[in-house]
Amino acid sequence: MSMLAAQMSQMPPYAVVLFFAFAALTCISAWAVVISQNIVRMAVYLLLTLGGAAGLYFMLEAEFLAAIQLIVYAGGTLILIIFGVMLTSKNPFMQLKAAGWERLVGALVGGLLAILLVFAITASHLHRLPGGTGEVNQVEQIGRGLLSQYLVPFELAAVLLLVVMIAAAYMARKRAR
Amino acid sequence: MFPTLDILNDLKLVAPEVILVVAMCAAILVPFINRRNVTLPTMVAIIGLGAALIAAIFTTGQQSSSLVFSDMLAIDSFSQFFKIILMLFTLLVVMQWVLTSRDQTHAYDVPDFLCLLLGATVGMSLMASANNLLMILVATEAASLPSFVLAGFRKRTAAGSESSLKYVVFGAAASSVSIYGMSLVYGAVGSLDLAAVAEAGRDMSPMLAVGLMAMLAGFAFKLSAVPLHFWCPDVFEAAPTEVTTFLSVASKGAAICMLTRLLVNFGVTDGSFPALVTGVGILGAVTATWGNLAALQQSNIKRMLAYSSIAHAGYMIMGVSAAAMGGLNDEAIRVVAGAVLFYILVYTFMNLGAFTVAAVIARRTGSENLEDYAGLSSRSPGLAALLVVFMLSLFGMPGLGGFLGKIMIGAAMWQAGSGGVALIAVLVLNTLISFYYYVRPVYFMYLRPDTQGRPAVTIGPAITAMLVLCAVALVATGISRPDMTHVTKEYGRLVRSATFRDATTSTAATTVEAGERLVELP
Repeated sequence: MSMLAAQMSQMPPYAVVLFFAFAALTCISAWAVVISQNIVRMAVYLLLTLGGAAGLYFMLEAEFLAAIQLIVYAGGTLILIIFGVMLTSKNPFMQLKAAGWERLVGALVGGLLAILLVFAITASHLHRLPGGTGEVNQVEQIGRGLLSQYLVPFELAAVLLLVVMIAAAYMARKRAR
Repeated sequence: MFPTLDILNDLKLVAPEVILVVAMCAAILVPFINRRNVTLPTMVAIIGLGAALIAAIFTTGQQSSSLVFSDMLAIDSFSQFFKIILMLFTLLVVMQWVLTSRDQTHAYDVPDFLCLLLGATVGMSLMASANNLLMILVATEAASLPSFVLAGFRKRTAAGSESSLKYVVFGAAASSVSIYGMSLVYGAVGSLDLAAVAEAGRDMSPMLAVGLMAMLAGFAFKLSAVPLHFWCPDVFEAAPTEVTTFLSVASKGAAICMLTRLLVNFGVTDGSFPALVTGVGILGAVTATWGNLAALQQSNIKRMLAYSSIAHAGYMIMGVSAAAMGGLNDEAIRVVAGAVLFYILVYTFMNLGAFTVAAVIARRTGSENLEDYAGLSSRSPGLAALLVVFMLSLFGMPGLGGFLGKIMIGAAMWQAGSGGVALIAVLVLNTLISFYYYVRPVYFMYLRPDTQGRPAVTIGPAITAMLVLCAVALVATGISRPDMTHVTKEYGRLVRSATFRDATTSTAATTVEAGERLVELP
């Protein structure tokens, strides 16, 4: 915790306010996703969570990541979820209700996990990674990385996407005649 | 800042995977020539797998070991030997599919099936070589995602769809936990390279510990280790038999190779991960025991074999944990890695044989229940005798490969001190428990007379040849003790990551650089 406070004291005041605003947006909407009972509402709360996380990425000077977060997750994935709900659910306003004991178990597990993670992160020294300096061209850096050091995972991801596309096409198509 | 790549040289070493990707694309493209022809895509897949097998054999001999593509992949005799087994096995699975159930697959679906099978094989093959957490992640996903669809390939059946969905949901949850763990590891270490992570483990921080634990949860899912095994029996029962065969061996084998590489990397840093290693050992012991106890109650042979595969995964996990117990030298690691390779090799033939017999019987009688195996010895004596061989080898009958596999795993544990002795006790106890359910089919086939006039099961020459090949392989591995164990031990050489190698190799600088970058926050 002291580490966090030390970090905060070095930031300009508006940045501290923004940080807490984005953090609150992310956490509160994530919590709302969990307790909400309507799947469309959940999707909208999820949008806010992802947007908040994108804001945090901006503050970390990872502009590229933030833009990708907005385009791919907030834009693409979320729309897919809504489409999925629309196409599969007979009633999009269906209520998803968890039983009382399920909530209890969920809260217990979630709480314990949160305590464990907070402890683990605050009790450890984070290593400062080479972050954005504001001047380096991030897209260029990422592009170079993808075609040099991370070439194999990048190419394998391409193969993976091809296979998944074929798999999805197989699952979706009607029985051929 | 970015390391230069010698891409052409590196590409040679991943030739098996490249060939598989080409074959995969070819298999999905041949329907453009003739949509109704099922032989063409099948031939493409078989040729591709055969070429990949040959490439794997050549890359093993060519160079003893190296880290390629900026340390992303480790190409060593350990990984290549597994790839040889994997390619051979996938080839046999395609044969099994052609011989037992291709006519149940619609002609239009054949290219899709082969494409998914080859895609999963690429992922599994790279899992055995992955030397970086990012690579581990992408390779695992490349192996998992096609498997989800393969498990539900008969999409018209409710059971198939249900098991596939269960597999997807479990898999997605396990992957996300695993990815979160990797992000914590990255935060604690500042690098995703296995050597750097192992190095950072010298002074373990809580964050690194939590991260590694979460990461192992993803591995446990792939291995169907006990808290995360629920998907396994359902998927194995409902999936088409050839997919069950494939998943039971290839997916678990690849995950165990990945775990071996991880723990060997960690184990060599002066045993700095005692809790982690003990945890993996306990995980293996619980998995084996739980799998065996649950298998006792099964009446469906595929479900029983599913629990049996959980138990065998447990044995292998226990063996691997021995790899990292105590400060191990090169020789000891070779014993462990060799034992794992030998076990996977034997396990391949046992499972392939047992599942093929189950498939042909189910094909003829329409039943997978052990009750319906009554009197099989008089109806189809040859098939019954072969199933006996596979069952006894799975149990660990002396003289068959399964026994020697267990002995080698036990020998690996013996090196690991008192913890290893406890593991040996668990192994022996579990083997005794497993006797009951492996002998049950034998009891039904030989001692229970058939009262309902069930039909005789006749098999064609090709299936007979395949089953006899499996049985012969088991007997050969069982009696060739000095040769085969020597061979796998020879192949049990793992290349270890940058910091532990001599500095002459080209990419050694990357991890050192990562080490220097570790500036702590105030």
